[in-house]
Amino acid sequence: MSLLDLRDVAVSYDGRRAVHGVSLSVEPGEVVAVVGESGSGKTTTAHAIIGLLPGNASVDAGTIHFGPPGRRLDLTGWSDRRLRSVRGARIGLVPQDPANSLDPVKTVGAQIGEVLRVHGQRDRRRIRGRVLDLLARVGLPDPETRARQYPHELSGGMRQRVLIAIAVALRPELVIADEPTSALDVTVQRRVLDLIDDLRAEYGTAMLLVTHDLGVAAGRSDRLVVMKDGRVVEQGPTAGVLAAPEAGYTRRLLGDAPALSARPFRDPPPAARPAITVRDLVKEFRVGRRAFRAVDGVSFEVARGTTHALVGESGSGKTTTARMIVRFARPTSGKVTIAGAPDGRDFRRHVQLVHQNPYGSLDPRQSIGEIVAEPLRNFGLGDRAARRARVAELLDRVALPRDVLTRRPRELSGGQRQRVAIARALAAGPEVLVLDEAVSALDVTVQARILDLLERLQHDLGLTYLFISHDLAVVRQISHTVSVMSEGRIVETGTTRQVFTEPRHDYTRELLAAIPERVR
Amino acid sequence: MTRHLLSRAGQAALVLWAAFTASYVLLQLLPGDSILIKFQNPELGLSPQQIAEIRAHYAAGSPLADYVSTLAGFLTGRLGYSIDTGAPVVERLAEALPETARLASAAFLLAVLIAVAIAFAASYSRTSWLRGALLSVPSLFISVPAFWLGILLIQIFSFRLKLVPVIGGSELQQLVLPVLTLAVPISAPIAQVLARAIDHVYAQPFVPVVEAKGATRWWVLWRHVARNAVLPTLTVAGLTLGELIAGSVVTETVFGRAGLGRLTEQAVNAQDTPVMLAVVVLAAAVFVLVSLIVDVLFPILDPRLKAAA
Repeated sequence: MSLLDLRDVAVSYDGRRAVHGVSLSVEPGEVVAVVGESGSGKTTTAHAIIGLLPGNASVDAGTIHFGPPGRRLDLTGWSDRRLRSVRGARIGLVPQDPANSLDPVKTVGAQIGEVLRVHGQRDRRRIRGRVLDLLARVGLPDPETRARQYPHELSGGMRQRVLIAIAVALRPELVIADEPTSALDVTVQRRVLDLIDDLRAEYGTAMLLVTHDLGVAAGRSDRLVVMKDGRVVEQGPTAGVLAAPEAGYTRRLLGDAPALSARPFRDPPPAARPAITVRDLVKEFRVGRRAFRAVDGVSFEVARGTTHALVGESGSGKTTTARMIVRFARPTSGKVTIAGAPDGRDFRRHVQLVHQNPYGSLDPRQSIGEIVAEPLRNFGLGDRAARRARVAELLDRVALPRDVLTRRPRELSGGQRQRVAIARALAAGPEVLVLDEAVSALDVTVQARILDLLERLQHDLGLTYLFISHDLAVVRQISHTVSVMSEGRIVETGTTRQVFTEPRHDYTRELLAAIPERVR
Repeated sequence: MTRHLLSRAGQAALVLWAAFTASYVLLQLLPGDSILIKFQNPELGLSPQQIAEIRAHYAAGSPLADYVSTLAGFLTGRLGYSIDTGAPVVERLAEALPETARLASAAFLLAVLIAVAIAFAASYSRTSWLRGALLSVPSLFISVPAFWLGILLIQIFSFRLKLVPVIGGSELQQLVLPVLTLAVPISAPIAQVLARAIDHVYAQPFVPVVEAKGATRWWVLWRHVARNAVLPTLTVAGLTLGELIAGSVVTETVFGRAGLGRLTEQAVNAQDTPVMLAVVVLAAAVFVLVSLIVDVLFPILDPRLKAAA
């Protein structure tokens, strides 16, 4: 008999159905991964189990049973008051965003001890002892110090370890992990997932793993539940679903996931002239009285018409390098040469930047037509009619329908917005595009379409790309050459094929080992 | 930390000096003066020449020398003499200050209580109309004029219900209505900011994590949400504390209490410059002191600010 049983669970937000009759079950000690893209209802389903839906949401139908035989509970329609005895004690939660999931004004120790206190533990000494045990168990060195620290004094990975300690403190039978590692760097992600696996094995805890990352789901789960638009489209043993997906949507998802589909490498064309040359680039920031080198002697070349990827984890200096190349920041020393780029304002006609966040980089008050035409107006290119024709041409290029012209950014999806941002970057006819995590915020199927679009544009217009990313699977797919950055330095440069198949530097090997297996 | 504190104290001294200078200049520029107001009454039968002599008796010399000697006096605690009554300004302040301090501190405490009650009740209530009603209370409070509220309270509680005697009565009875009059308008901004801060904190991702530990609604509100919401509220509370002195002018006049507010009102009517100057500098000192305290409290309440300070 299964530990958790959802039958035909339906959830609505303000009367609008978001989850339509989801049924799934989790056996004791089993890991079930719920995968799907944003808006698929996976997080809503998970939160419905412990009654943590926002105020405007309600479970309208279905049943939720939890517990081993004999102690079986029907959680359906339980009041908040009754659910509290289950939350934390029998079902733990590992949340999505370690940066903001801990109370900033309480110490780490107090927040771990809190779950014990909530469930009736009163003895201060015993709580303290247990907190220190837990901190040590989740792999944080020097638990005594950690317990007294505040969340902002810990790194993202350490905070997620603290949140895991909270989730497992009372040895629950089930842990709901909601995108537990999506906000973490790959190497950290791997260590955190390993920790969760160890703890599960030790305590025999079952896990409902909610994730958008098929690579994570493939490597860590026994069974897979694929969701789309609030419905389960397919479920079964993970290996079986991956090997022989039945639903068309699952097949598309697997095909689009860069981590799971090993495409051929893009080898650079022989002997192209360099479009971007970076020599000994250094950027120092002053922190108090000390100087901090964010970029420390970076040199590389990008051949015309190719894609060069700059990969690294957060804090590696890749974005600072990109900002100096597009002249948003002045180098402390070193030189960036972009072949054929004029000085002054016209530099921006030659070099353009596409940002990570398609929600923040578009003015919400402008129409799409105005947004795409803005560079043309700024540079005084063409008259009204010519500009209108150019905007229409650009929308065609990025495969957006004409009727988006008069719409506002909020009416578009994330993928459509990123297409708008690309169209705007292309408006003044640049030869170099710097793409800063340009596809990182997008769902895999959307991401795959944007990557296809970028490849086609490069082919048609002869563009040179500098592709900044933390995601090695994406980098493998789009780039000809790669530089791996760590702590402000480039540790390895080469063709994508070389770097991925014969990594020479230990850090590159560690990065590659951290991405899910299929690619390797 | 100590360096930060020292520089803040230096800034505070600078602000006080600027407040003193600005009000000194403004008071000198006022048309007419206290000597005219006091001695021009025809019944006294003084000639313009005699008035000029009196003026010469009070004035010390050039405007700059005057300013310097007054500033030196303030720095050493000699605030001069009231032109109206001839008593030392220090004495008049010392008489009025305790009354106002009692009124103001009681009113501030009550205002904070009212604000916390409104904000907590609004965020705790699950019915949306009740929440809406509670959240509109501060707007109502802030638009009530103090003199009108004071008169209304006297009408209801003293004349109609006869709960509080108009004249006489114990110290506590005399304090109740003025405190209420003063507290209601200043509770409004505190309540508004606190309610908004509570809403903001509730939207933070750490709140569902606390709920997932099995905490009760009250536990979440009291131990996490309120603790975080205090920070923005403290700033506003500090500002309103300074406003209390201005508020006490009207309240003390309506209730006929002898305090700093009454003293201000009399000094303005009589154009009693030394008293007015002293009151302005005192008010500025309270403002500066309170914001200094708020500054010191901030890093204690929010550990993230310790590194920044």
